[in-house]
Amino acid sequence: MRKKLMTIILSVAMTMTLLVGCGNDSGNTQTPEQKTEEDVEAPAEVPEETPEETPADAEDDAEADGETAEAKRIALLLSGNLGDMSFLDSANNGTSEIAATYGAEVKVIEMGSDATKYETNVLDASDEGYDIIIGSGWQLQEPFQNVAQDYPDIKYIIFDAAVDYTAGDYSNVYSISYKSNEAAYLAGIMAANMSETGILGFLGGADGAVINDFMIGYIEGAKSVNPDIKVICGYVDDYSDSPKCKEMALAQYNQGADFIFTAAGASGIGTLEAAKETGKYAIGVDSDQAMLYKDSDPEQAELIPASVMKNVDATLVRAYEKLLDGTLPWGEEESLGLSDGAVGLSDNEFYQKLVPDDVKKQIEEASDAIAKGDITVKTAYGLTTEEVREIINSVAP
Amino acid sequence: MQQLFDIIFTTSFAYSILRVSTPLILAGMAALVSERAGVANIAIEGMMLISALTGVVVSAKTQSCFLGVSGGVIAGILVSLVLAYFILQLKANNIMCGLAINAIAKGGTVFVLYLLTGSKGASTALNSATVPKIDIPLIKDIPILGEIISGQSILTYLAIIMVALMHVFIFKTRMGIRISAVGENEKAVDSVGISVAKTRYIALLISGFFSGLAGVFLSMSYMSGFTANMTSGRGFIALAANSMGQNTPWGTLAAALIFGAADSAANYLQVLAVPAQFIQMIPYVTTILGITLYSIYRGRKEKKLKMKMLNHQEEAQSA
Repeated sequence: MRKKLMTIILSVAMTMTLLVGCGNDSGNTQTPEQKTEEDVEAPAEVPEETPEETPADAEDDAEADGETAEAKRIALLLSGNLGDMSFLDSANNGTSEIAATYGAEVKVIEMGSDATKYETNVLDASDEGYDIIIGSGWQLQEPFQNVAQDYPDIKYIIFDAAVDYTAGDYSNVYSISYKSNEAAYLAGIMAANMSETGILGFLGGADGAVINDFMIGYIEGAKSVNPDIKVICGYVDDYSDSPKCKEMALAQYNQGADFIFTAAGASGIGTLEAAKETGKYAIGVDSDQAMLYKDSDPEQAELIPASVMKNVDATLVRAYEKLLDGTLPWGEEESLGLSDGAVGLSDNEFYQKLVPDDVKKQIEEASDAIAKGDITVKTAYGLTTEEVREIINSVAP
Repeated sequence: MQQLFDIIFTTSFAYSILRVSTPLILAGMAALVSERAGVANIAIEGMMLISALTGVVVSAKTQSCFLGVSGGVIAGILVSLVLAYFILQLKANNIMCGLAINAIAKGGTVFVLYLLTGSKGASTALNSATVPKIDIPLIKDIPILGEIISGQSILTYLAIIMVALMHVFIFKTRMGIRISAVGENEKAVDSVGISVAKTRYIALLISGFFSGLAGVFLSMSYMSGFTANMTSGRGFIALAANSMGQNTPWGTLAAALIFGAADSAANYLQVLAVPAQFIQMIPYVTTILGITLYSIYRGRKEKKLKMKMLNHQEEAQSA
């Protein structure tokens, strides 16, 4: 009897943790009516306010609204949870901006880390009649590929990944990929210029194209400044093991590196701490990581001159604007880089203070040259493992 | 090859081995004491995670490192109390309970972290305290050795002292021997009037204490803050270290140091132009090698013992 009770208590406890894990998600799905009511009300207020303040804008809005008949309903499916202070939060900011400026109705679905639920969620969202379904990252590539063809009237947008357009008719799917290598190139220029030892470090989350794209851009940028530059490359092989990342970063600093660029998600906090311990520099990734420490630990923020950013928010707003214009290339993958403002180096008070003026100028020039197409940065996409290894070996100390 | 030796024979490498091993040593002690009492405690991972977060939160609120460490350790003990209640009082399966605690810890810590800081990734917004590192007088002046041994975190020294204390506790005190006895044959212990449940309670609480220390070390010494799921399987590696160390404190310490050294080597060798995957393999290959060598050694020992017994029998028969 007791055992039975115990089993029940335990299964309840485990279900509870599952619920905690996908927090907002389940909260939202339980009360769809409530949610939609609120959202429908919100956009209705927007046109009332705007005519008084900016009549010109209101006309534009009215035109745009006229074309699309009524406000779009958007579902944003996230392969994780909000609060990552980076990638997913940025996507959420983008859709919030779309909701605020264009009066679209946005529902954010945090799908947690259980990938088996992703496809079901995509199906559910498709059945609920959203006009646009936006999905984050490579985890949603397959679910989109499996679902999108059955719902030709719904538009799908996937960012930081692309569906395989050769695998079928995906004329209703638009894919955004990011040229992270271009922003990393700028970080490489900065690091190589400011390094005193001539040795840099790179730590990746895993040995794959998305991460290697950062690495190759970084190496190329550094080489463009100093052809003899050495770069120690390593992989943490885990996106949440910050102690291990710290250990690896310390090892790199001990071996002479005075700049480490880390693209390893939450593990990257480890590099930032190692930088503080050794008094050397670290480069953040995805979001402006100096800002994480600005208030709680300014000493730490002083050692993060810049972060390589993926501006997911800007690219989503851009996509929505193009969609309203009717110029969004459906059925294609667009690779967005510096020229589109999709990636970039963070510019904050620490960048201004820590980076010498001539280096800033050099970075700006390179940025312009890349945007114009005068410099083409090598990318990891399409490279074989051997080719990547060759690049790593060419800068190994 | 020259480069390899240049990396391995540096003081910073040796220094890092102790640091990497510390959480494994502490968690290994947690595994040891529960294993000795006959309860496989797989909840160490979850307890570490909860303690790691508690330590950070308490130290951020009180701005006291000592209170933070105490808070983390108390959290570890409380969780182990819950675990012990389920296993001993309600007679639930210990593996199931362990799994439940690990699952609760993984989701629950992120949930609490989000409530407190608005972030689901790291506690960077909390200004938490860190455990200081100390130089040991005299030893710090010895050339190479001083650089390796001195200047570690207080918790690292504490971990090694704890191993010695555990050795005395397990083999020399009445309570320690009772714990081992309960693990070996609970019915025999019961028959002489010692409470099995009470003994196991004590063992599990000690296990919670060590898990708490291990967790606090991760978030307040190794790192200066909590990040989601920062234990990354260290609680399980500690179980392996304990079984490799044959359930003895010094053995577990040695196994933890071997794991730590392998891990550290993997971190340091990234500089070599060897594929990263190969280097990442080192800790696991070491584990397999260690276990194999140990099994061979034990097999031979058992064979010898059997031979001896056979000889005795023959002697007895002939006599």
